[in-house]
Amino acid sequence: MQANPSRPLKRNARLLAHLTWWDMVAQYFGSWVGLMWNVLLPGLVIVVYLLVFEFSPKFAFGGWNTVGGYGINLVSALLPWLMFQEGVSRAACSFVDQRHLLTQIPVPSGLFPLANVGASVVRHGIALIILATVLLLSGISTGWLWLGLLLIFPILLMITVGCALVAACMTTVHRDVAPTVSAAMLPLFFTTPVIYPPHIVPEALRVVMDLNPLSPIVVAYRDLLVTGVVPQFGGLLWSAAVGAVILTIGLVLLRRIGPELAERI
Amino acid sequence: MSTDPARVVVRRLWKRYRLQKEEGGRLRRRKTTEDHWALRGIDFTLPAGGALGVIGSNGSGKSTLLQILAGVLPPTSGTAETSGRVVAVLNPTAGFHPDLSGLENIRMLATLHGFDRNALAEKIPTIIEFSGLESYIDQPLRTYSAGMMIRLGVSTAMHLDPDVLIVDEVLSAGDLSFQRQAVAKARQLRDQGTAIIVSTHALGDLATLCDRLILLDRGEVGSEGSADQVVASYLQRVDADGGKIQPGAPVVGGARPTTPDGRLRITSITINGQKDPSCVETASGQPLELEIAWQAEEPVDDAVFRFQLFRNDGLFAHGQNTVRHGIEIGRLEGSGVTRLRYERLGLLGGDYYVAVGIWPDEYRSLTTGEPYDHRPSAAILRIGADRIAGAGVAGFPCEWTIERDPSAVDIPSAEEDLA
Repeated sequence: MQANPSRPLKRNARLLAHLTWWDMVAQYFGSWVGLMWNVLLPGLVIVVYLLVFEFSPKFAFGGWNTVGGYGINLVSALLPWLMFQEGVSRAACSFVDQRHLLTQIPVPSGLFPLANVGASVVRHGIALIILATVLLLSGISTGWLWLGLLLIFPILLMITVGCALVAACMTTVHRDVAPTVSAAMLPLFFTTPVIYPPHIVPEALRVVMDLNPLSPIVVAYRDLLVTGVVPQFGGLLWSAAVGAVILTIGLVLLRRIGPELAERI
Repeated sequence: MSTDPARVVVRRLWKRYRLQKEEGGRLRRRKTTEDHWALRGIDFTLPAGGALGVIGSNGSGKSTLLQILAGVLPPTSGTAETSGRVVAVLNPTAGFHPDLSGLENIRMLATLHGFDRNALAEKIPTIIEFSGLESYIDQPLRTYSAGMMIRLGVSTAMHLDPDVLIVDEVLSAGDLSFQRQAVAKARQLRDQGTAIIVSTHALGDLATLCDRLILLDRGEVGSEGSADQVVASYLQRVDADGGKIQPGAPVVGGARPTTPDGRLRITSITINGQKDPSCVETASGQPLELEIAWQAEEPVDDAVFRFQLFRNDGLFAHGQNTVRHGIEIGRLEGSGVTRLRYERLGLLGGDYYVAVGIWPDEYRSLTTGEPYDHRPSAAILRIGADRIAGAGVAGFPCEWTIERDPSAVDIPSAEEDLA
């Protein structure tokens, strides 16, 4: 069944790359701009937020000794959030959407939600490049701290992949899961300090923000890209721990549900 | 063939589906599960170069069996082992992505089957040519018709060097020329050592391709053997229970909607002495008598009486009318009976819709929907199967003779035999 059974990992990695590519191609297939939408859309998000908030004097980011204006601070934290939101929302429907393929070819089923996450990772990368350009042009540089992203990104990826697998598997058990995931994104967004700095949150509500494993990550992105300080490790450890738990649950679900997928979808 | 390595080995294969039933309203739902055994202990082996046909009525477990063999469903118990590359076409969409082009979809399917870029580059022109879809190959799949999708799916599957090729039903949905082309290619693959498993209702094609058939009946192997034996037993079964037109079922084809004029009405139809029957059973070669009782609400000039038979798949099998026989009816007043008698019914086994109509003239009976009166499915004529009468639609009296000349036998010499 496999072309190269001795190296399934290599084969699966190759398939994942292909599926990610097709996911990105299919999304905008036939449109005039086509694949370029994957560059244009993140670029547009960044430019619009910057124009609206950066040049509007009414918004100051938390009114404390921040580097950069509201727009820059917002966008730097928005990018990791968008990767999470897009990857998980799209993965929630991935098994159901790929029903024709999954009832036809024995492909390792986990590859489909992973491909959705893969596409959001690629767009995240493109968005980071655009943001870096904007930062350089506006004279904001945190120097070597940028490289800190190499440590933060894997935690974000772990949480995203874990949630994507859980959402995809649970949707095959109960169809209400996919819309619930979409609905949960908005409240989750507001408990993540993307549009506000963490220190303005009232003491009573702070526990909600602190429990959210994405909070330390978006703050760390902002610290590393704009503010230029070393992120706090405590929060990131919490994120990594929660991410590991979610990823484990996701993998267990996939192992249990994967073989029966064709009769569930 | 028996010395070839087995490509497919199925041992005591059972498959259970858990059907979930939900009771109650949106809130307070109670879920109960009910077990349904789709396969009950299937056993068979298929060698390289063997071709196996799976036939059976809907719900007999054909698709489940093929899905398990394709590796997308796990068996509940027992084993289904395949060796080599298994390529399956299980549903008409063949796993294609609707938003990708035909070409991208070929690439995707082939990649998922383990082909790399170079191997694929050689295959693609052949696949496109075989599918006959050259001018559509860059269009997204959602613009394809069902037939085009089947062409693409079957063409791709057949050119991916399968060791085991599994085709479920879909073949019979393609057009006839592609079906023949596909069956020819399947035969070529089989001769090169591919094991082929097909399930289809197109029994004619199956018989030529498969050296062995199994008939599934409610998840069990009902009969197994050569194509001829199993097809005969299948048709017997179809005749015994399923596959019949139920009285009142809509006509499959051949009938245009009509709006009766009302001046001349059909009051009753009698077939073989049965008045207004829902179903008339008869046999090939028997006489058929039809009586149309009519009532004229006002005098009508020059009507045409028409009788037609449509097979249950919509095939127009026979038609007859009074104009063909040069009968000038003249004025019809009051009421009366028009009779039609066949000495011998030449149609073979099957269910046929009886359509009876009275029309103003022959031309309008073909072109308009305005009869005096029309009954598109007045009754069902159920003609019993008769192997001796032949196969197809029509049967004619015939006789076989074989002439032999024993003295002309060419006995090969011993040397030739050794060589």
